[in-house]
Amino acid sequence: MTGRREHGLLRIARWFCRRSAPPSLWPAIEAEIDEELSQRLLTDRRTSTSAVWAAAEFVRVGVRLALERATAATRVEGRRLVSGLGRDVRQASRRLRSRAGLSLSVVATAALAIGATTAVYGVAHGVLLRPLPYPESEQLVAVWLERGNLRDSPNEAVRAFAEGIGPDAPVYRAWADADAGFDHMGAYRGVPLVVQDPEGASVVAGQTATSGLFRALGVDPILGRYLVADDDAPGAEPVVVLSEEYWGSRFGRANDVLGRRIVVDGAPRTIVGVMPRGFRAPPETVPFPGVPSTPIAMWSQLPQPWLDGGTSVSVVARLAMGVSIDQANRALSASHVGLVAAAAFPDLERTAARAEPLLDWVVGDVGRTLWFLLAAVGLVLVVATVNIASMFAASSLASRRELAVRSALGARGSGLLRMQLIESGILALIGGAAGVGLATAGQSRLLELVPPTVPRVGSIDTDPTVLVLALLLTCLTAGAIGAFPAWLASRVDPQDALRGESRGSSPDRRARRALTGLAVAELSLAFALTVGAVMIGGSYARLTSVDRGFPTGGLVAVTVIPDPATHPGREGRDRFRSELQRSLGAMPGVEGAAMNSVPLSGGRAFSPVTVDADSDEPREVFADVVVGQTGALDVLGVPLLRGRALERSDHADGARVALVTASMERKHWPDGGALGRTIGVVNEDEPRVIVGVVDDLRFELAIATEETVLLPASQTNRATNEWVLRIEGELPTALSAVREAVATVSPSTPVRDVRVLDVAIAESIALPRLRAILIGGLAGLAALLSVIGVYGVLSYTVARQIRDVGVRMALGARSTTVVAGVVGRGLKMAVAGVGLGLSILLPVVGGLRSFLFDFGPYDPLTYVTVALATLLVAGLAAFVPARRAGAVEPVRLLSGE
Amino acid sequence: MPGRKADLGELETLVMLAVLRLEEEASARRIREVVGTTGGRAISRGALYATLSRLVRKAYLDQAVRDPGEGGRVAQHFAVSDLGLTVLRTSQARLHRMRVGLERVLELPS
Repeated sequence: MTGRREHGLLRIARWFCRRSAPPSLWPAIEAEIDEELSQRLLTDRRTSTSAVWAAAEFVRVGVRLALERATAATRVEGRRLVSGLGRDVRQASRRLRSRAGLSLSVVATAALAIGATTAVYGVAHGVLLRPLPYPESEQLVAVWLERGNLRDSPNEAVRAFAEGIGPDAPVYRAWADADAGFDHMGAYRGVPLVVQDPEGASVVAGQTATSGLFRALGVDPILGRYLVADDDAPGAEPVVVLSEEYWGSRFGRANDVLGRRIVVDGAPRTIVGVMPRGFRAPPETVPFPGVPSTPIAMWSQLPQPWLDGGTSVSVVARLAMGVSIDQANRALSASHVGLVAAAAFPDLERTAARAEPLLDWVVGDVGRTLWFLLAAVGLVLVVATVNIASMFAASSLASRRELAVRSALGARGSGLLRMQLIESGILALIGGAAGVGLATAGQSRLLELVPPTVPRVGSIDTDPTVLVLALLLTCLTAGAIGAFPAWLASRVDPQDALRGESRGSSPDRRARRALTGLAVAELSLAFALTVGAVMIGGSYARLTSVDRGFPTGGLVAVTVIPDPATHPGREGRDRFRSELQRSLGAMPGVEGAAMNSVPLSGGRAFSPVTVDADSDEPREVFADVVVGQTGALDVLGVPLLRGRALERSDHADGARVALVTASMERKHWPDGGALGRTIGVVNEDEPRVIVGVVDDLRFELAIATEETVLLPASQTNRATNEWVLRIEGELPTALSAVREAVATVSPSTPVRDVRVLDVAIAESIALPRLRAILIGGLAGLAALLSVIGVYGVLSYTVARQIRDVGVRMALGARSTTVVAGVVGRGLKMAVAGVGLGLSILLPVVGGLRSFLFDFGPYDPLTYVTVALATLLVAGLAAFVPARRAGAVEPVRLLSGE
Repeated sequence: MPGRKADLGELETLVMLAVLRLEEEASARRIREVVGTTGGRAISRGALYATLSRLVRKAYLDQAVRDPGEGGRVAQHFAVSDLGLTVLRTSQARLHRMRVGLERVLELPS
């Protein structure tokens, strides 16, 4: 380092420090450092070291002082900003009040969009995102069987059962015993339980479970204990754990409830514990007919017969610390493959075991609908924001003279921008607050639409994150409202604007182009949403008008399980059915018959059957197996096409017979020769002879039933505890007659779970209905906004060009030509919007397939109709300003200038 | 001083106490020495000047340039202003009130 360079360094450092220091302090700083430097130079001959020291010292002091100054300046600037803001807000409020119409439209649009988004997000958050109410719930998984044989079935209804189905108890035990990375695993199944009191029998919601369920869910009892391993053993003492709700309502929260006995399903059980309020195992997504939902009253052990297998149960497990779901799935698959190979469970052929996050399993298919609705409401938000931005921009352009005056008077571009942003901020804030209000008010209406079959409806409420979202949306809207007009405003040339009408100028053309672009964007999104809405709404309409196979009006399904004490064994149950049917027959206005599952009431029973069982080419298929008492088809009203119906002669010792539906006959015996052919039913030794063909009947509206076999109840061991009743007159009167009839046969047998078929059907399509209503509403909103957009742009354009129009008309242009020109511009925007909409929609529309019924996602008629409607509406929106332009009186206009 | 935050940081307090102690001798260099020796806190020159500049800006300290001494050097000298004294008194009184009864714990002379 040379002396000159050292000197230079010191000089720079000194300059820097002087710049940073307050002038009053600088002499002292310099004097002090220089004094020390000269002392150093006296003792140290290496001048360079001392100079570097001094330079460093100047820099250090300079930096500290600069930081100090910056901090102080920020504080002062902040205070000034706040005081300035108050003035700006007052000014902006005055400007907004002077344009009350525009301000109101902006606030209303923002409120609708923010409200809709917040409400839909609230529902989606409650169902999809909120964690399940268990400790460390992200560690919980559902474990289920995937059935390869069902997955590959040509029958859509069968395929729906290929995944997510629980194993039976023995398979569950084999999984639980395998070391697959789970801390705890438990099985359960919701059931209605009959509690016998001295006052009579009552039915409560219950869950039968293994002890592992409680340990896996990790919730402690508030009194006593939950089920423990000893309770799982066959022959263990029957015990029951109460819910806090049931403990309160039935036992008045008595602390000495432990050890008491209650009679549940005919057997005394000892109360061993009480679980906290709201606790329940997650509701199964597969609906089990006859299971009331919340609140659960009690938990008991899995019934003895289920332990031996044959009844599917739901399985939940808690992943061990540090084990990922993938690792657990690999270990589970390996152990399941071992089970299948060992052939210990013949039913497991072509199955695989899967673990899935419990939340995903609980939410099931509803997740797709909610994500779809979120996307749709997001699009509406975009349309609304674009709409607001263009309304605001057009108005700002209209008031550009004012801006120009301000600009000419010395207002800086940044000041004008700030004012615009403050105005938009005020509008967005009011809109956001109104939106949250709308969302809160609208949420209860929305929840009425949400079918009770949607899981976790109870966990939907106004959540802080929902409000955070609303705030975010508000900021976003404010930005969108403010940024575009502010950009336009910043481009105002004062001279140009002050000269007066600058209609032909290039900034004006640019602004018009930008506004047109926004309107086209709105039209395109509205077009895409409307196409989706028409397809989804049309699907729902077709779903409601689908042929059900029998008249459902007046049909009611009830569950009547005979008390085993009065009617034991198969013989007892057969006797009960005959007696009850006779007893019902004696009642006026009621006829009824027992079935295994009443079609369209929520349940269905599949089973493998062998077609042409006694031939050389037997074929195994999965079919709906309907078990019915004599007269069941008459009560349902399913017409007999050929052969005979079920008759009393089809008793247990009679010839084994079956009926098939017309579509089953068409599929397997296309020449119409089903009568006399044979059907083999699983677990039966000899094949059955087909004696009749009946019309098709549906089990679910959305899925056509292709293969259905009907068996006489007296010839099968299958549970036949559902009763289909055809009722004339008032439902309550008829039901009390039914209860009376049941009581005459067996006083200790309750009538459970009354389902009016038309209500059950409406519930089964409540989700498609929700989709149709919401997407319809959203598309309508988007369409309205886009029409307002087109109208706004053309009104603005006409207003800007009114002098041109006057000149042209003075030169001989006809008013129809002028009108056609403006309408034509509107139509051009619509065509561009449809084109852009198609390019947005076509790549993604395939995703709608699962929401559609009897509708293809590329249905050309829908596209053409919506496109024409878009043109029509845009044309109408353009007609209003067009007429204004056509009505111009050139003489008055030009003389008025 | 209603409506305005009048808190003193530890370094600010030390500096103001040093200025009071030094009376006429309160130059930047001497203040730094006193804070280091009596106060037991070594501070850098940068930190001292930043603190001095802040205290001057808040009008807690007055500054005056005295005639150059024998060596012809500028000798700048600081004094606690009336406002500064009020703020310091308030702050010290507050500290004192909080200390009462804690002498044993804080190992202070009672």
